[in-house]
Amino acid sequence: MEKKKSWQNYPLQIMVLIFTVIAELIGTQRIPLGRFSFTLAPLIFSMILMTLFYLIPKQKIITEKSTPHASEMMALAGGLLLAKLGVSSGAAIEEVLSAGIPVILQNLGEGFSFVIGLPLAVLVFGMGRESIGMTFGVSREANVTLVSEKYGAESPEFRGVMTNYIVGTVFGVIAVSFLMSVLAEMSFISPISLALASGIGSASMMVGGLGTLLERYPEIATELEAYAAISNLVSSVISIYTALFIGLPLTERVYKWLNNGKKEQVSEYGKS
Amino acid sequence: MEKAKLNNVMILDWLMALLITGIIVLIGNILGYGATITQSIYGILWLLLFTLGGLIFKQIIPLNLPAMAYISSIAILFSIPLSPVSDLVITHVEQISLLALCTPILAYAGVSIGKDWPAFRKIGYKGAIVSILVIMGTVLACVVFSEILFRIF
Repeated sequence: MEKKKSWQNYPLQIMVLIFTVIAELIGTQRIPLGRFSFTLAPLIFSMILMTLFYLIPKQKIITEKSTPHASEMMALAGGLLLAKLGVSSGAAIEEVLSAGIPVILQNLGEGFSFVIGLPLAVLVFGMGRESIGMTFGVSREANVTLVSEKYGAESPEFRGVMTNYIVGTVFGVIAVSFLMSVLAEMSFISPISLALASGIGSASMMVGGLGTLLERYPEIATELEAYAAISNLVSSVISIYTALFIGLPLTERVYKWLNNGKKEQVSEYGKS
Repeated sequence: MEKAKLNNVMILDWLMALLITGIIVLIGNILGYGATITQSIYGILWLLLFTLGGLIFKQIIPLNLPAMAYISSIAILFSIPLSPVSDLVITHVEQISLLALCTPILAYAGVSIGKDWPAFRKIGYKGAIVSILVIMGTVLACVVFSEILFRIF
């Protein structure tokens, strides 16, 4: 029998349709949290519904066998999203190009991923060198490859980068969209900066952040989409170099600096 | 990496997959964003065309670029002011909410999340907290960079 194609996995397609319909019917929800409110776009609901459904014990409709199909479908459907973002970019191309320098250079912020996470990991949680792999960047496939080449797949750094990768897959979209809800309330930050910053990491993290912004600022949707898309495009080209030449060396240096004066930690995890 | 030779079966498979997602997006766009079928259908068809074009170019152009680069470039070229059809493309595609596109995509992503869930549960709260703060720290660093850069340039 010939191998089944991704699009022929009808149970998968039907469940995606059902969860899309439910998510759109729920619509965008705002949950007030003190002074702020947390925006939940339908994309969060469809994602959570599918995750929960997958985790139902003994459910036979979508199992591990469907995961390659789902990944391929996601890549193809992602093409439609890229095309939409491309059209928004083309429509606002003059505006985005006139802001060329900030648009490109703000991506270097990706070299400073460690600023909050690393001190916490080393000083509070007492982590060893795995904290370097965990905090030098938002780890997608390229960063994982970088660390396995530089430190080896058996290293503590590699365990760290894999931790970041898995947590990013599971919680990345929610984390970015939550943060954007909070930042969007701060009127001294321009929504353009937020759109640019949501261009980090994977495409799904980007839409998590961008989705929240679009709900908040529907009147400048095309501009926001254009800035986020161009930022994501620039990021996908330069992020590996940002990680290699800024993120990783800086994280190493700060790690050593944080460990000064707490030698016992160093000897415990040590240089294996 | 060796590219598989482009053939009709491949194109048909892409087309079927894109048509299925296109229909799901169309339904979501109508339910969630108040569009009608006639308003949405041309936009979906443009997006489908750009995506299919990008996938085909990736196979026939002997460069090691991801399909993403071709899809984005085609879509941008069709909609910049120089393009004779830019007004038409932009008007049609504007009818498709970006969020309507994301809802089914993230449903597919939910499957990968479910698959990674057992690995996630082994990580423990420290790794989870640190990793989430790294993601948030990256966003914050980019926001700070961008705010500073916009004030300089």
